[in-house]
Parts: sequence; structure tokens; C-alpha cells
Amino acid sequence: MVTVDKVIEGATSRSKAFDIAWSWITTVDHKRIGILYLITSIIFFFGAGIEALVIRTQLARPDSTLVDPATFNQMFTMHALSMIFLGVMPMSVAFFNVVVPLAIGARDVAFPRLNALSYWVFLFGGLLLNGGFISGLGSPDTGWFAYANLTEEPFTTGQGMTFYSLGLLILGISSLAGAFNFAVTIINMRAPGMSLMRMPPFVWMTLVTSFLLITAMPVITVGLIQILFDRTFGTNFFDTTAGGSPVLWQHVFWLFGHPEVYILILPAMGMVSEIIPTFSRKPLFGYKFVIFSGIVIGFMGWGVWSHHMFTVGLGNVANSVFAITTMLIAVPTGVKIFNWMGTMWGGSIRFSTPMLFAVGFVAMFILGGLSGVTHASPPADAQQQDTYYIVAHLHYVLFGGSIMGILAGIYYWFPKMTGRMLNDNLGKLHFWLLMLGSNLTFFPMHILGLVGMPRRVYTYSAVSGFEAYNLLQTVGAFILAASFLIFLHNVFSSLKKGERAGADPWDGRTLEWTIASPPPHYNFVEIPTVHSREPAWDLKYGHDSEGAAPIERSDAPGAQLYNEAEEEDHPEIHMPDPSYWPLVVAAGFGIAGALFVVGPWFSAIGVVIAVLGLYAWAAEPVSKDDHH
Amino acid sequence: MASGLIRKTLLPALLLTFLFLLASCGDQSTFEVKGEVARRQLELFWIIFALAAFVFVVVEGALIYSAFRYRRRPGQAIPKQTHGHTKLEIAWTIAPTIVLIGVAIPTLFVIFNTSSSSDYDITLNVVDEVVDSSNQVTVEQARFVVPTASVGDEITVPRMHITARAHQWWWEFRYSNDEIETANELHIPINTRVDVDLFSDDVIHSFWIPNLAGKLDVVPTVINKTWFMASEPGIYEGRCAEFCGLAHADMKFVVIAHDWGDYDQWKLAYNAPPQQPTGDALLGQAVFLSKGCVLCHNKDAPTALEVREQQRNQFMEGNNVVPGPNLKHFATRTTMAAGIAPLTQSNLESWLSNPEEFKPGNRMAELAAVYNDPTQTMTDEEVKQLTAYLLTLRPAVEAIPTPTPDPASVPPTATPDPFAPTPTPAPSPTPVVLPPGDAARGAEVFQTSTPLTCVTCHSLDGSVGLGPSQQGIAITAGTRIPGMDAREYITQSILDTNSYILEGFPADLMPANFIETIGPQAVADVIEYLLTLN
Repeated sequence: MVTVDKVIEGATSRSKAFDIAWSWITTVDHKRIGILYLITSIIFFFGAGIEALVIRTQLARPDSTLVDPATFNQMFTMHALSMIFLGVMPMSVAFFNVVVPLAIGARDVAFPRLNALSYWVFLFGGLLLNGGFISGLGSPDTGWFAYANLTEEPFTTGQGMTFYSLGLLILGISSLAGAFNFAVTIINMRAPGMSLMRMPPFVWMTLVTSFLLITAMPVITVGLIQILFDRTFGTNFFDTTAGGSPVLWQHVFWLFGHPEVYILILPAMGMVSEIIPTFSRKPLFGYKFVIFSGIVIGFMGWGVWSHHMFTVGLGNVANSVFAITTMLIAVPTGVKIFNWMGTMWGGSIRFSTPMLFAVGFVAMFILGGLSGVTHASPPADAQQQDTYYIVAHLHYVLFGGSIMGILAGIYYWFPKMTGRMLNDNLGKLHFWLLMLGSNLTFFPMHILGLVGMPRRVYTYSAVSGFEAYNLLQTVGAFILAASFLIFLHNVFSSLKKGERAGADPWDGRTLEWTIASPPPHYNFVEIPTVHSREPAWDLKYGHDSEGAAPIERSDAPGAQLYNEAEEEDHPEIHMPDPSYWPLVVAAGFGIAGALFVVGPWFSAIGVVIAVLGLYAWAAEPVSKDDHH
Repeated sequence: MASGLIRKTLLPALLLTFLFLLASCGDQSTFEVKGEVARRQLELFWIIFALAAFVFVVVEGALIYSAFRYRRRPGQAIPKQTHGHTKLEIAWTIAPTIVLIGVAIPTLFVIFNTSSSSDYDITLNVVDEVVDSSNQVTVEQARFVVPTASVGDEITVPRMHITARAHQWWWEFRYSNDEIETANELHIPINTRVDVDLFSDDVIHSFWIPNLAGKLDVVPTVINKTWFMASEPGIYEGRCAEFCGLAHADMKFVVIAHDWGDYDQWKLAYNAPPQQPTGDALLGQAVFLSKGCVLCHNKDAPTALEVREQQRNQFMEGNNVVPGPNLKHFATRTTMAAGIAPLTQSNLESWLSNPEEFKPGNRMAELAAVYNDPTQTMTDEEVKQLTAYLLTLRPAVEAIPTPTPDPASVPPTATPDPFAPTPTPAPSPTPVVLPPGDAARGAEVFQTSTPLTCVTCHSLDGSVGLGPSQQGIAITAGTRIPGMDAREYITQSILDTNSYILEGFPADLMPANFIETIGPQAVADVIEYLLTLN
């Protein structure tokens, strides 16, 4: 690629490896940042997976003493935090980065250096959240929703909650910067002719998710600062002995937490809404209904938070209202599912790996949605809340939903990112093992919860009747882990010797399939003009004389359409230069967070670095050719 | 293709497994319903489950069908590029809405009829009449003292009131007016609506008895109220359901539901004096007193709430004291260490010699000097003696009176529990026969009675306190209810304190059991005294 090559040419004294590393460290290219996001989040995802295996191994047998309760509590807390904030969220952001500019016909995002900042802040935030493991000072151990006042002294001592609040605060900076960036990119940088209602569904869901992030992150920021100040400076937000309210935290947390659920699932829904049409060779059925359902979910997601609190004792009226709003949100969700099935109906479906995962997503998400309806009902929820039934539900929507959708996305866009196909047979093996493993792990949890096993218990007694389910779940968890080893092997071997993908391996329908894989760093030599929702499809297929059945165009430009050649030099295309200031600023945030643990005032060092970095960043020209 | 095969066979198989496994569930299963609240919640669950299962089969079926039916075949032409169908969209927006209305309506009903704020009376039918001298009538399996009931009547089940206080990591149960305090074991009579006030002493917990009722959180600064009933005698497991720290998994309790006679017996036994320790147990008593156990554990009587407050403040200030379970009649309990193990000599010895290993994270191991100060560690001998002592903490057999139903102490509607503060029967003349009273003694009782003094709330000079002033009551009492004279009105107001609540004063505040607390004579004296206040 052009940047790399130039750097390499100009560097005679430095080693090649260093140059490559430096080009990645200073990159502002959305595709590379997307790949950095993806690799980092997969590493964190595997860390969270190992935590899950520790949990499952401990619970495989009754009265197990493999880990003590203190370790167990850190494991389930960090498992959830890592999966949500360091796994699923950044994996979605990886695809915002890789796909959105290509799909809207843009050369990059609106703010490329801010985009780099988002990534580096995410990396440092992730490390800080794991700071307890890294420093040995103890990790968060109060559950991912960290109910006050358990999080107060003297009930929780040590630095775990400091890592929790600072880690999430810093990750919030990353999310906000990214969300603003993508909202602006999508609103301002679409190719000519791409009206809002011609945007691909994934781009739409990125937009909705960005607005959810912009509105939800400030809410949790308030709560995190309250926790941090209570613990560090002796404020009384949640100190019940001084009149603080523990329920206040729950409202703040879930007011963020429920939109967060849709932040986790909407991107996956967007991916599936692109993959199913491609492999069914049909346009998305009911495009407008799918898009509006996504938007409606985004709004309604703000009106259901108290369904996490049905057993808190908010009263009959509050419980009734939130029960009804929660049931209502199932309607747009159902509409999406029906439209995906409508897309498949009458199609010509090819079950390549991405499509298997996409259909797997729909199948698993239906079950997760239906179990969700059973605890939308407060009296039924009174028996289900805080049991494994809830754990089953959330894994069907977050694993069967988000992760399955994201895996579909990985198999679908991997060729676009790398220029090589992932092996389809290994992909199918991955899929079937994952289906088996995940259903073995998560399905028995429904029953386990209903027969009375609460969540977040480090062990259970041999006479409880829980043994068989737990053992089954542990077996399932290891099958699941094995399926991901196959995935890893597939990724590494395909990177080296995978089949060349070409520009359009899936017979795609959207703009990213009209340019080379991987795309040149400027993406489009010429910004395309868009005439329909499916510009790539229209280039390839027209209609027969009666205008009914689609046929391959005789004038289809075929390979000539695509810039298949190696990257050419286009001096007329101005792209921003690499910059290391985003990394410096992000490191400033990271250092501020890490030093807070030593003493709050030491953070000033990190803040100074961040502020100086911002000044240097502001003074730096966007590109050396920039004479404005 | 394999995909469809699995979906065709695996998913229905899972569903069948689900239904099959429900039949073989454990003791603390929410399907093993033993009480009214859990029954209503389970019925609602089955309604929703049936609707959800229907939707599941239809939708997954359609998904599998389309996955099979529309697989790409070699040489297949490009399918028709349909973009949507508005009528279909409207149809599948309305269809789930209708299903959800089917979920919402029963949900709303059950929200209200399982709530503690609902004043639904639970009624049972009288099915048998036991002919004996005390007019006992069998109401299904419960024996109530209902002199006026006969077969076929509907009887409102009695209510009782308890307080549950959650601590890290054990449960304290107090019966109204704090006359009984137990730890981790809650004794109740069957077929009685048990109203529970939930307090937390530290962090958020959740009160859950799967067989009897779904959970309600126990939130510091808030008093949550719930209720449940047990329909048959038995031991039901309860536990904390909200993650509350290190020993959350080991924060259990048991609910022991008794027949009425057994419940009366248990209550009488509770008030009996303990056995006298001898031999090893006597030495153990010395250990108990000298090693600081008494700082946190009361063993003689209910712990005063002020003491609990002090203990909690000590803990919050970082001292080595924390509210500890009351050990009164400890040896009669079935479980120990917050319901996690059966109470046996060997369990008790291992608990006392190494509590951290027995129940990781517990506060006793953390705070008690015998466990964290090496100079104070108990010898094996001392542990044995202490165990022996704790196992003598049971009522002396000869001191337990036998329960004799006393019609005079029981209001006419079925309210056999003298601890119930607010039975709220319809106001009616009370047939309790009081002895002749004496106004002079009554004046003294009014100023000095224990545990509560009348004058604390009721002034004599017209000033307003927690209750209405008694100035001129002898005159005003006769004017309040047409056709009721002052004596009748005052008597009814004292015996059944919620009968006539004046506007501006709260109900349920004044104790309702003066016959038991100060005796019929004192009550009669006070009535005579009040009738002199012109």
C-alpha cells in the first residue's frame, strides 16, 4: 500500500518491521483502524472467554473449590465487562470503520485523526479495565452492573472499583468520539445520489447506534463519576448511612444499560440485513420497515430500563408501565425477523458461512426474544430475576444474537479487508460446533434458573438438583471454545494461503463490492454516483424486456468495473497524513487513569500529556501538501 | 442439508427435553409450588410460555421451511426482485401486538393480586367441622378457632406480620412487636397470609422462597413489603438472590411451615427458659462469655433494635463488631451458618474451628478476635466445649406449656395469631369479657404501662401527639358513632385499635394486643380511667 511503501522507501536506517509497526501506529486510514479494532477486540474477547471457562469449570461439579469466591466474583464481573465493552462493542466499531465509508462511497471518515484517537483510547481503556489483573491490585468484583451500595466502603475495599469506573469512563471517551465521527460521516459524506433511504441497512444501524451512544454514554458517565467520587473523595451519592440512595444508581445504570443492549444488537442486525439479501439474491424485504423498526427500537430502548428492576419494589404502577413498554418493543423486533424471513422467501439461497451465521443469528435471536417476553411480565420475572434463566436469555441475545451476527460479518467482510477468503469448510465446522456448543451451554440455563439456581453463586450444593445441568453447560462451553480455536486457525491459515477473493466474491449488492479487495487506501478513484439502494447489483444485473425477471446485463462491466490492479498513485487524491498525536493524547488519558490508582492528584501528569498532545495535534497540518 | 436436519430435529428435541426435565426438578424449584403467590406467578408463566412456544414453533418452522425450500439449485435463474409488501408488513406488525396483548392482560392482573399493597383477602372453604369443646373448625388443612363457622362457609385466612432484616450474609426474622427474633429460620403457620417487611442492614439483598413466592429486593433506606402463604406443612428453602458480596452464595434460610397446633407449640417453646448447661457445656458457656461471642450474638431474648443499630455503626466505623445472628434456642434449629449445612455436632465443630473454610468470606472469621488474633485462638478443647454449650441452647422441656386455645384471647374472625398487629376485622362489639375495672389503677397504668406508655402518644391536655389526645374523651367518645356509648367505643378502640381511626392519624400504629401485653385487668382499669376524663 502506498503509505507503507513510501515509508519503507524513505527509511534506510530503520528496520522494516519497525516501519511497518510505525505505519500502523500512526495510521489514520479507516480500514486499518478497523482492523486494529477487530484484532484488539478479538484478543479481549478471548480473554473474556477464558474467564467464562474458569466460571464453567468451577461450576461443573457441586461444592467445587477450584477457585475461591473472591476470584469467582472477579471472573464473572470481568467476563461481562470484557465481553460487552471490550468485545462486542469494539467489534461493531471495527465494522463501522471497515464498512461504512466504503458502503457510502467515501474516501475516509469525517475526522480521520479523531478516529485514530478512538481506537487508542479504547486500547488504553481496555487495559485499564483489566488493570486489576495487570497490576495484581484486584479486579472489579461486584458484577458488571455493580449495584450500589455494595460498591461503597467498607463493603468493597481495594482498587477494583477504581479500575471499573476509570476504565469505563475512558472507554466512554472512545465510544463518544467514534459515535460523533460516524454520525457526521454518514450524514455528510455519502456519495452523490445516496439519499438516506438508499443507505445500506448496516449504515443505517450504525447511524442509530451512534446516536444511542451519543445519548447513552453521558448517563453512565454521571454514574461512574458518582461511584468514583464516593470512593475517593467521600461524597455521599450512594452512602446509605449518610442518606444516599442505592436505587439511584440502578436508575442511572439501566437508563444507560438498556440503550446499551441495543447498541450491542443493532449493528449485528444491520449486518444480517445485508448478508441475508446477498445470499438470497433478493433485495431486503420491506427495507423501509426494517429501517424504521431499527429507529423505533432506538427510541423505545429509552423507555424500558426499569424492567431490569421489577423486583426492586418500584410499585405496581411502575412495574405495569414498564411491562407494557417492554412488551411493545418486541413488535419492531418481530417486524425485523419477519422481514429477514421475507427476504429468504422466494429467494435463491446459498449457504456459505456468512449466511449460515446470519440464519443462525435469526434462529437464536428468536429464542432470546421469546424468553425476554417471559420476563417482561413482572410476576413471572419475580421467579426468574437474578437466576440462570436471565443468564440464558442474555446469552441468547448477546451470544446467539450479537456474536453470531458479528461472526457473520467477519466471514462476510474478511475478503474485503484482507483480499483473501476464509476457508468455507472450516467456517461451516466452526458454525456447527458453535451451534452445538452454545445451545448446550445456554439452553439448560433456562431450566436451571427455573428450578432455582441463582446467578453469581460460586458454588452450589450436591443435593440441590443442579448438577446435571451445570455439567452439561460446562461441556457445552468447552465445545464452544473449541469452535473458536477452529476459527483462529482458519483466520491464520487463510491470511497466508486463502483463496484470492477478488472485488466481489459474494455477488454483493452494495458499493464496497465495486472496488478492489483490499481497497486502495483512497477507496474510490472516482466517487461513484448512486441511483438506487443496490448500486453494485444494478451494475451487474438489469431486467429482461418485460421488465420483470432480472437478467445479467450484457453490458456488465465485469472485471473492468473494478480497480483490481495494485494500488496506483493518484496524486490528485488528497488523503490525510499519518499522525502519532492521537496516540499521545490517548496515552495521556491512559496514564491519567493508571496514576489515579496511585493517588488522584498524580492523574494531573496524564492530563498534561493529553492536553499538550491536543495542542500539537491542532497545530499539525492535515497533510504536508495542505497549503490552506 | 445438515442445517435443516439439525433445526428440524434438534430444536424440537430441545423443547421436549425442556418439558421432560421440568417433571424432574429439585426441591427449590419454582415449579414445586407450595403457596398462593408462587402458584399465581407460575400460572402466569405457563400462559406466557404457551404463547411463546406457539410463536417459537411457527416462526422457527417458517425459517426452517424457507431455508430448505429456497436453497439455490444449480442453474437456477435469478429470483424475482421483490421489495416488500405493505399489507404483509401491517399484518405482521399487528400479529405480535395481539399476542402481546394476550401476555399483558393477565400480567396486569397478577401484578396487582400478588402485590403486598393489594388488600385481597385470601379465602378458603370450610370443609369439615371438628366437634370438640373448643369449637375448632377445620378449614381445609388449617385449624382455625372459628366459633361461628360451619361447613360451606368461606373463611378469610388470617394474616400475620413479620419483619425480615437482611445482613451480609444471614437473615434475621422478627415477629411483630419484636417479641420473637430468629436467625435464618422462619416459622410460620400454614394457610396464613404472611406479610413481610423487608429491611437491609447493609447492602441490597433479595428475599426469595422459590416454592412460596418470587423475590423482592431488600434495599437499604427503603422498607419493601411482600407477602406469601404456605399451603402445607414443610421446610422450604429460601435464599438471597441479589449479589451481595463474598458469601452471597451462602446466604440462605429455611421457612418452616407448621400446622396451627405445632405453630402455637413452637411459639410457647420459644418463650420458655433454656436448659441449664452442665459439664462440658458449662465450660463452653464460659468460653462463650469470655471470647467475645456476646459482642455480636444475643442468646437470651430478641435483640433490641438499638443494639442492632449500635452493632452496625461499630462495623461501619471499622470496629470488630457486626450484627450477629441471635442464638436463642439455637440447638432447636435444623440448619446453621445461614442455612448452608444441617446443624450437627461435627458441622458445628468445623464451623467454630475454621469458619472461613466452612463459609468463605463470613464476617465472624473476618472480625472475631478468636479467629484473627493468634493469641486468642480457641483450643480444640474449647471448640468442643463451646459446641456442647451451643447444643444445650434449647428450651427446658418441663418449662414448655402445652397450647390451649383460649377463645377469650382470639377475636371472633379467624385471627389466631396474637402477634398479628392489624387483623382489621369489620368493627363489631367485642365479646371479650373484661373484669371490673378501677379508675385509680387505670390512671397509673395510663402513665406507667410497659413496654409502651399510653401517655407517650395520647396527651391529656389536648395537645396532638402520635395519637389523639384523651382530653374529654369520656364525653366525645359517646358522640362519635351514633348508637354507641362512650364505654363501648373506648373498649372497642383499645381491643381492636384500627376500628375507628380519626382523620389525620395513621392506622396500624397502635399495638393491638393489650390483652396479652398488659393483661385484661389493666385494660379494664384504663377504660374506667378514661371514662372519668370529662
